[in-house]
Amino acid sequence: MSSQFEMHNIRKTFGKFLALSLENLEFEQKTYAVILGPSGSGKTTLLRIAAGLESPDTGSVVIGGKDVTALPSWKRSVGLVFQNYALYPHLTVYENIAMPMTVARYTNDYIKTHVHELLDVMELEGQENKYPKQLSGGQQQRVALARALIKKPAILLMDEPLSNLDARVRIDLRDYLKETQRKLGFTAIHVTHDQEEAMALGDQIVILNKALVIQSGTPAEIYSKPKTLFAASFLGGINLIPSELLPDLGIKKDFDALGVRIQDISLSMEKTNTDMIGKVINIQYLGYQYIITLDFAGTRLRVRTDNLSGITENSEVGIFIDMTKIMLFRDGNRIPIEEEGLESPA
Amino acid sequence: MKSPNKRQATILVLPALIYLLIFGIYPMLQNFVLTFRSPDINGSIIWGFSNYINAFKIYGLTQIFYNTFLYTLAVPLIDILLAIPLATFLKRLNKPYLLPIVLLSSFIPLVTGAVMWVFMLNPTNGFMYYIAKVDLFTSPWSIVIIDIWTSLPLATLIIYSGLRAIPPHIEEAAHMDGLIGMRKLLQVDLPYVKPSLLSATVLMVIFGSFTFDPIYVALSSSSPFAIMDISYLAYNLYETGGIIGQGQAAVLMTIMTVVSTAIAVLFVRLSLREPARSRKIRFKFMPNREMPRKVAWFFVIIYLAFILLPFSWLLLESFKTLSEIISIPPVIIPSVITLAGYFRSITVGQPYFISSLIVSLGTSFLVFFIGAPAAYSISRHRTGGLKFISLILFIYSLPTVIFMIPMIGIIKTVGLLNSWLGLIISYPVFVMPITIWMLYNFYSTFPKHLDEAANMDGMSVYGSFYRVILRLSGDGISVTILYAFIIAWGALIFPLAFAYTPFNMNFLFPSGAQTITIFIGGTIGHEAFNYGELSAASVISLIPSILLIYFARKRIDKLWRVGGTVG
Repeated sequence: MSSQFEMHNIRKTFGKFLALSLENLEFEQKTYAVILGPSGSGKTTLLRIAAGLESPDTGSVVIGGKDVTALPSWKRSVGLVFQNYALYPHLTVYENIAMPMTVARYTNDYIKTHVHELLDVMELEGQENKYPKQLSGGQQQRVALARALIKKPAILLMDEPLSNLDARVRIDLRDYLKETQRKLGFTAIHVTHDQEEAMALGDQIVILNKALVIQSGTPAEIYSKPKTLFAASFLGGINLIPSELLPDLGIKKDFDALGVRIQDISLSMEKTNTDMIGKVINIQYLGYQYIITLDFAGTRLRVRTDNLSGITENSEVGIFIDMTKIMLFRDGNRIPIEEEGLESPA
Repeated sequence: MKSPNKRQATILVLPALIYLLIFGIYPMLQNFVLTFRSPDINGSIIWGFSNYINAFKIYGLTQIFYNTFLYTLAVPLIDILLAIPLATFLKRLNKPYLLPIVLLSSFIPLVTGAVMWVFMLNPTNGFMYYIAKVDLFTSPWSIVIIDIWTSLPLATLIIYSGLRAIPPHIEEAAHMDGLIGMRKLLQVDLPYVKPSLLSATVLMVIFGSFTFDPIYVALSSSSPFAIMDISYLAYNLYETGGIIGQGQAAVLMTIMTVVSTAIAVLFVRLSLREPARSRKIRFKFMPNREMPRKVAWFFVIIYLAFILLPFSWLLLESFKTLSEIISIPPVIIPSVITLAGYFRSITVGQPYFISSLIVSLGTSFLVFFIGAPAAYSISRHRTGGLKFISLILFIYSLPTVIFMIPMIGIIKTVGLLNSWLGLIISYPVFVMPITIWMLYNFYSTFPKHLDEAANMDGMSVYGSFYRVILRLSGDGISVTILYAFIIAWGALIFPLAFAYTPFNMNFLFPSGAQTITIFIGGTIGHEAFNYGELSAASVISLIPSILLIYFARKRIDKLWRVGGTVG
């Protein structure tokens, strides 16, 4: 597979503020790539540079093997879905979707066939004469998607496409996005701050923070082998226990903090087999499981469990950490596994 | 039962409502009554239709009607055709300093603007000598030119504000779709700013159809029937025709009221309702590329020359000696700069300047105290629903001259003719509607949670208005007050009708209230007058306008935002 999208040595500043700095970024054809980061991390800047709405101070953008850095948006073979859809309010659904093609002066018949093809894919047949205002949020989003796809771009860019929808529609549309991408076979670059969305959709995830790429890889890679504390806590969430609070666990204490995911801790009312005792602060019931928040020597820990087995708020519980799943961090970076000096438990 | 909040919100509106009923609605009805009143041969009053019959026998009426139609149609048409490109160029060039300069001619007293043009178009002493030795004032097109010069910036401002209000994501979507230049203008921008375009058109229709000030000034250098319109004829009949003239003037005013009501209904509906969907403009071949900045600059410079030339000529005149002012061919750059005109205009014009200052200040504050609470109440509490704001826009779209005759009656009754106070209580009828409309739009953008928080903290509607909202609306209010000041400063019809002597310079027992607009507009050509003095006074009369534009330059494009503010 050839690489469909590349960015090299991109740097973008706004005044003195560094918005984005990255050395190399490549996505292969038909990849669903997710750019994940908190607000202000540079993810939208990355997308806008790819779209041609911003030009980088230095560096180049390559799409389908062609350097497009100097080309205007509409000559780049990219489609963009805006966060708030940006549909033309004075045009119908049909006219909105057809707009990029009418500008490019295709024949009416040709446009008609293509618009109807997309209306069909987007499950919008029968809505083509409505105005954006008459549609639901999910429908508007699909119109925006159709407009972005009408010219069969090599890359589809999406800027927080699901964040304006309510929770249920968001999950439906999430599945739908991935299906459509697989069906039509385009390369997608999807920007979001929602880690769950990133995990669900991404073939490849790029985590950004403070204008820099923190880590890039498949969701499973990043989840199980985060390179930094930031990546670990941003993707999946993690409990951190400062090393000085820990009892002797049989590992060398050359780390600052121990990280453990919420499902890798278990609790018990039996306090005899552990040196770690915590006090339950509250219990959230999520329907299929519980999230227990507890206080351990001044640090808050969150634990996920399927049944409470007698644990109540304010009770004192023993804490058991699955030592095969722990991550150790020093100076904000994870200590690679070879160095950890972990003794496998018997 | 009404909630206490509703009741308090209603009370905030009451002063404005009462004022408008007395000074706005009553005169309209009174005019109608007056149309039936005329004297018989013995001079005693009889009631009948003779005014209607005689009004249509007035000499030169055909020409006057023709002129009125010309002003009503040509001014808005040319304005809009010129304003769309200008607004587009301004947006394309995106230079913040250009807009205030372009706006100059719309924010100065109409009389001053007319004086500039009378000076400039003079075929022997004016700049016109170098263009074509023709006297334009023999044709109504001279008034059309002055009207366009005065109103074009306002039309441009309204359209420009609309263009600036297009959300950035729509601009970017158009960019992604490859829509640029002319094609984007026709397919995205103009449909998007349709409410602004319609409002601008209607405002220009109102402006053109009731042209008064330029005619008053230009009559000194033209034959009356060449340029006169119905508005001026009505004033003239009243001023010179005694009780017969009054009845006939009332007929014309009633006709104007009916016509402007029709326009007003249109205006109110356009301003308050969401416009119906338009048919799309389709052109097969349109240049789909951005206009080069150099070309945009080229056109903007032509526009600027048109707007600034009269200002420059006036400024040059004001520093010339008398011999250079009247020399043929006219001197362009004065060889000797003299301040004599300024000294004399300050000495002679002093009582007029003082009256204008006091009356304008008084009006601004009266308008603020009555208008701001009303604007807040109708914007936030929807007091009176759409009815009150419709009334405001209706009165705004009426020509000032129609209030004149009944209002003289009111002012005479309270003994305030020829006094500052008489002018101060009458001015708000043409100042307050626009002020309330501006503040109404301003408060519509105010975050609602502020009132709700104030309400939760136990403040009443008064409390939240006076203690929270008013403190936070400094910039909106200061600009609005300044704008009110400028309208009052440039007023002409009311001082002409309600004041007949200049201020007597006695602050303990003041009498006389003639304003600077009368000093400037009334003296040109009417007496042997020193042009240097007149041009210097005209320059001085520009000061408040320049101050307004300077202070409001950052938010001036939001002053006139229209459409989509309700619902």
